[in-house]
Amino acid sequence: MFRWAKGYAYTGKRLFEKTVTIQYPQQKPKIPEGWRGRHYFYPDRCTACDACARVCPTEVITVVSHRDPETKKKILDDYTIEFERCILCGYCEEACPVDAIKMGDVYELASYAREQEFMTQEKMLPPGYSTDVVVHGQGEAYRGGDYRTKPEKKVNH
Amino acid sequence: MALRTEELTFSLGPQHPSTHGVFRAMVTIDGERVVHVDPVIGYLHRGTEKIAEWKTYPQIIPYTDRMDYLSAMLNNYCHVGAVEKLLGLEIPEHAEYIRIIVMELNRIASHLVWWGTFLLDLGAMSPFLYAFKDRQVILDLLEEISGARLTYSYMRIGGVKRDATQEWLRRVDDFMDEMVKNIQGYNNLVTGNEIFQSRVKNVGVYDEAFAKRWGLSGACLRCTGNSYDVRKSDPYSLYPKFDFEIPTRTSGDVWARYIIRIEEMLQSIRIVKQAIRNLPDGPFMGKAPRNIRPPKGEVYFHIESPRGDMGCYIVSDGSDHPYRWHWRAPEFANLAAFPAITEGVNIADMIAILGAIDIVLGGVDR
Amino acid sequence: MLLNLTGLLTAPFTWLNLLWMFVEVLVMLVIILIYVMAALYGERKILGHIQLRPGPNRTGPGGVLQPVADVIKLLFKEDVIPAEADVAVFKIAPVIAFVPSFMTFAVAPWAPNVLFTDLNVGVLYFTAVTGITTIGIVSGGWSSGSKYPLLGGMRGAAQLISYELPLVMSILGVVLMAGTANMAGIVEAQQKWWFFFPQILGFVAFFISVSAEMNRTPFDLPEGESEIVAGYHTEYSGFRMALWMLGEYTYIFADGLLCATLFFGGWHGPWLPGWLWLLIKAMIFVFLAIWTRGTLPRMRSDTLMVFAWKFLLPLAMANLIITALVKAAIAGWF
Repeated sequence: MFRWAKGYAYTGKRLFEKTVTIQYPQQKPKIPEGWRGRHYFYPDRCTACDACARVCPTEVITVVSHRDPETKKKILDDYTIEFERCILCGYCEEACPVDAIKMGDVYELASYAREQEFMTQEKMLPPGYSTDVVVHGQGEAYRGGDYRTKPEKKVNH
Repeated sequence: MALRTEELTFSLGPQHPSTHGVFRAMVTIDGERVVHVDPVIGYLHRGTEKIAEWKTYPQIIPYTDRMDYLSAMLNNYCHVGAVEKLLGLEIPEHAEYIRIIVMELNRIASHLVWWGTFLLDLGAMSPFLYAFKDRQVILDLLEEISGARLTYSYMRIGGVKRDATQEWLRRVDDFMDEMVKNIQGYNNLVTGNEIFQSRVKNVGVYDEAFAKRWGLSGACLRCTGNSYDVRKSDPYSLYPKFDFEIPTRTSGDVWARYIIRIEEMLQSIRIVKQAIRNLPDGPFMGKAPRNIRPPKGEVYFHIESPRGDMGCYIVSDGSDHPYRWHWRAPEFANLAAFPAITEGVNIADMIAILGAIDIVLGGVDR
Repeated sequence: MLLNLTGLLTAPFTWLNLLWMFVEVLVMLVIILIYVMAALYGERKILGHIQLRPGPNRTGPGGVLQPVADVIKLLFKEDVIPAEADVAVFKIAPVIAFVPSFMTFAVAPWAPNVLFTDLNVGVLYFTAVTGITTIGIVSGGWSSGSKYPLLGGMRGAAQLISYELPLVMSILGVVLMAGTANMAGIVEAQQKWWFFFPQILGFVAFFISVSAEMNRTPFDLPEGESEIVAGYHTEYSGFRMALWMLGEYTYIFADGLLCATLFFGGWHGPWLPGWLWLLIKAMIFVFLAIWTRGTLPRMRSDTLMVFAWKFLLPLAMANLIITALVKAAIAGWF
């Protein structure tokens, strides 16, 4: 008959407990290690092996490279991520053999326009890196906007 | 004098506070009594099953996260388990234990969301925030081990993405003790409340035959006395090693479904605690081939999701992507019975019944 | 005395007196508006802390300016009138709902001689005036030309009319004990002890039915957010919406005053001035209403009716009969 009173006791007790809200802009949440935020890209480490582009489920990574005629090694020309379609699964990070792409700790991902969501090497520079390392090779990767200019991708099968 | 009355048809959703997303029901009412309900689904259809035919097997895992987004761990496992069954892979016991820990944690988190939103449907506001406070702790734990809060993509074919640290396991263990107390608090706040009981008892009653006819599973089936739970009935993973019970009730009403889910949380806590205690050493990733190309054939693998019997059906043509990939979403099957249960109840009961089915539109529409 | 309001009505009619009346009403309206803002803030803050969150805390220190911001927002919002609406009724409905809530303050006894109207049938006036709100709710729901508000309005009509009866019945016990229906007279009669103790049954019936009259949890069926979106005020926006809210919060205050007057000795209390005591008692009632909102789920319409007719009404009537018998017996003895 009076079990509802227990509910009042429960809520009444909570009235004097500490609140659990994180006051967001002033108080930032703790980001655990290995968290999957926006990417950091290390152009100096990248060997243009294309592993990240192949493993990406949403096919948002574009790697443009050319082969050095002498050493037969691949040289990175450009690297972009269509971040608006990225689902932050972290597969690229796992696939990369040289740790050139890392999932970072940036979680404030909102922007005012789709174009701003397009990640070029400059935007993905890890903290402490200057823009000197950005590679501008012969080719230029798809830079968002008009999908008709997007290069055809190899389908996985 | 007979009053001339008219039936009224209105649209419940897709933007309605208690349709849990974008579910829509065309409801015909006579006064407060529901005459007919016509569910309309598909507002969240993203064609995951078709997309999956164009993706390699590991690439499908992030897509499964986004189906029943409240139980992403279990979705991951269902897909991964199906592929492993097709490949005949041997999974290290350590990895399997971690999988069970995260799956049961996810089950508790999912039930907490259900508990909060169900009470919100019944007009109680605070339980929602209490549930989310506790769910937050679980999400923080899962975030730490998987790297994301909701779309975990934690399972890998052959193991898991990352190993659990001792410190993490200790914190899970501590939280499980706290969670038992919290559930006791929930019972004090809601379960005993007379108004709540008057809202849920003898509402939306059906019997076992009805449940079987409509293919219901999960708490929607167990409330009729049937103890079908895939973890016991068709054991997968290492569940036979664990000591837990399947809570059942026989009354078949919303109250039974409520109590079953509350007890399931306690059983999940039991499983997690056992898993942490008995966790064997070993690798967290088994020997999986680099390029996963299962042999030609087909496989059906089903697990117990928080909402019922969730299954993944894969037809392989020997390449690295499935020829056909089908998902059995328990909430889809459970929702199908919604019009039949709600015939003749009043509007408030209809909302309670819909809440007790525990739909997640991401899973229903896929 | 400045606040000797009682004499004003009986005083000979002069323009000065009329102006004086107008000023007093204006002062009361301002007090009510300030109270509503405070109640809005208090509700959000208390509810927030019950739910382990701080509540509004961005606008001003501790968020105290939040209700001001809300009011400004509502004032500047577009006043949308649905195409299917019955425009005249749609516009007048929130006014019909709000004005009676404000009219109830005419009989609120703040302190000896500090009340607007020393009406002989003050309690009756109070309950009669609150009954008008039902018309506002029904017409608001009906005139929106939309389905959810219609349902909400009908629910409102059924609920408010059903709970009017036990409410009046439970009040009658107090009236019988005090021997007067004059609000000030009832307070005077509680000089020795509060009516809460002898009228405990009546209080239970009164408290429940008055909560139902207020349209708040667990009786918020006419609004029933999770069922019929926002009930009778689904289609309202801007300042008309604010009027609905104003009416709702004013009713909590008015019912708090009624509760304090009838059962908790009105202005009686040590040390503090009478009006403050009444205010404190009313505010405790407001707090209880907020606490209830943070605790209980909503009732169902059919159990609501059963509860009103089969439990509350008999309870209130039993209380009335017992009160009458005891009073007759005491009168017989002396």
